[in-house]
Amino acid sequence: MAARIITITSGKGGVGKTTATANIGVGLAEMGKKVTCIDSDIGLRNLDVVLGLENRIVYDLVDVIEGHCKVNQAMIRDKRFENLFLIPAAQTREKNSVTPSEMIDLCESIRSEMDYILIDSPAGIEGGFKNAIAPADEAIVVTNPDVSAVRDADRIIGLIEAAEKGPARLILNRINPEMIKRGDMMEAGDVLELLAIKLLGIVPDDENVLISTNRGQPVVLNQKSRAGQAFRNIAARITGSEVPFLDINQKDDFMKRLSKVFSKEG
Amino acid sequence: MTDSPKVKIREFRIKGIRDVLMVFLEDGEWEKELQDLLNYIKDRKDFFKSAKLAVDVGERKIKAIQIADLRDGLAEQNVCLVAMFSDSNQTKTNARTFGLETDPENIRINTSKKMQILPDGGENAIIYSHTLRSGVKVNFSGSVMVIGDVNPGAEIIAEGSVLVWGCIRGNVVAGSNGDENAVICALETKPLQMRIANIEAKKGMQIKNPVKINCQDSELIYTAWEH
Repeated sequence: MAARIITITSGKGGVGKTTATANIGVGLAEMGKKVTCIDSDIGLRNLDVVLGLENRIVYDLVDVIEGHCKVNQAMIRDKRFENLFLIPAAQTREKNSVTPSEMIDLCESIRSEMDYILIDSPAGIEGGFKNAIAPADEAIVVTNPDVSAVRDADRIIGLIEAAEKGPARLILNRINPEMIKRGDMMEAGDVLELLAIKLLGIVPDDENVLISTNRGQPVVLNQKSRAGQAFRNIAARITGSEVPFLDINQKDDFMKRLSKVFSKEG
Repeated sequence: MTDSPKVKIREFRIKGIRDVLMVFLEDGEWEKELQDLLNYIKDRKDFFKSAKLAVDVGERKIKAIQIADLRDGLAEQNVCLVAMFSDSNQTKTNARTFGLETDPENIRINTSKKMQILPDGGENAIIYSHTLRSGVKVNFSGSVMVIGDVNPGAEIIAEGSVLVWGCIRGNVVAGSNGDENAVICALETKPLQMRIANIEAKKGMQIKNPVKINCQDSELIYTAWEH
């Protein structure tokens, strides 16, 4: 077993990198894969919160790198899946306490035990991003359908290509069909035309994401949520399955589901 | 920097293939090798003037940024880098992203059929065979060709013309030295900012069809490309 190391990044902050990392990690774990998520956002750690593991942290990424503990001591086992681990970021340190080569060494030291290593990158294009991308075999870029997020995604895709980690794949997060219909949001097609990389998944805007994030229960576990379904599909595509894309225009309201039930029976 | 006789000029092995000069680099520190080569070319300015140069780097792994340094250094000497030959696949891949030829056979057999950087009336041109993404800045003393798009946040400043086989969405300047004979061509044109010489294009313009843009009486003329 040798893990694929995948870095999840975006350039811009707040587009859903950490949410995507948590949900893909849980999604892969649900399929029985052995997964370690690494939070490389030193000083601004979030992934532990989204996974609901913040009260279990003893050692963190910087402790491993500085030799205060062994790597498996810093790997927190998930409470739902025994094949999912988290290496949390240090909260009280700075991004330059880690170097790209130390990140590579860390990932290589656990590569043989895992199927997937997911690295949650910090926002920005400086040191933190370079640490996160250094060990990667491939990269996933998360963006929202707004002009500034897409501009930053374009920049980061260029940097990923320059770092010879490309071609990156794209997750288009928080698509709101209503707003697109009104012409207030960039269409998925426009974003894809500009960025010109392969689409890994489209995640609809869904309030369940926020609710589940606050509860530390990734939305991918919510069978009724369309965003959850989207992340399950993304996880499946990462494993190499061909899964058709969700129809984002399909509304999830009660009447529609009701009419579907009837049409099935009718 | 005037002539400094103190700089020791190292000799390089040079070979002519058709209209391309091929130079062989040796193993050793890249920065030093690069500097030696540039000094060598500077010393033989007349011989190398407007030459097309191919560089054989052996097994050396060359990063994209190093190729850029080499290309820019050569361009300053009025030498055009057209090809890089190497046994390293990584180097070849990097060289190709700069639009460089990496297969010696192609230069040997037929240069005219391959897309190359050909001097046009003594003017250099450079080809980018990929989309220029946000954050990329191309500043070149000749013409610039892009096979791909020019995305918002990317910038081309060319003393010559700019040809984009794709969509211009970013910033493009042709004839940056004030040359009103420069043109801009693109399949689709919706730039953030665009200029030929000192004449600015209207903000917010969008042309969905292939177009050639040139200067006439201090105005930009848009001609639809129909053939």
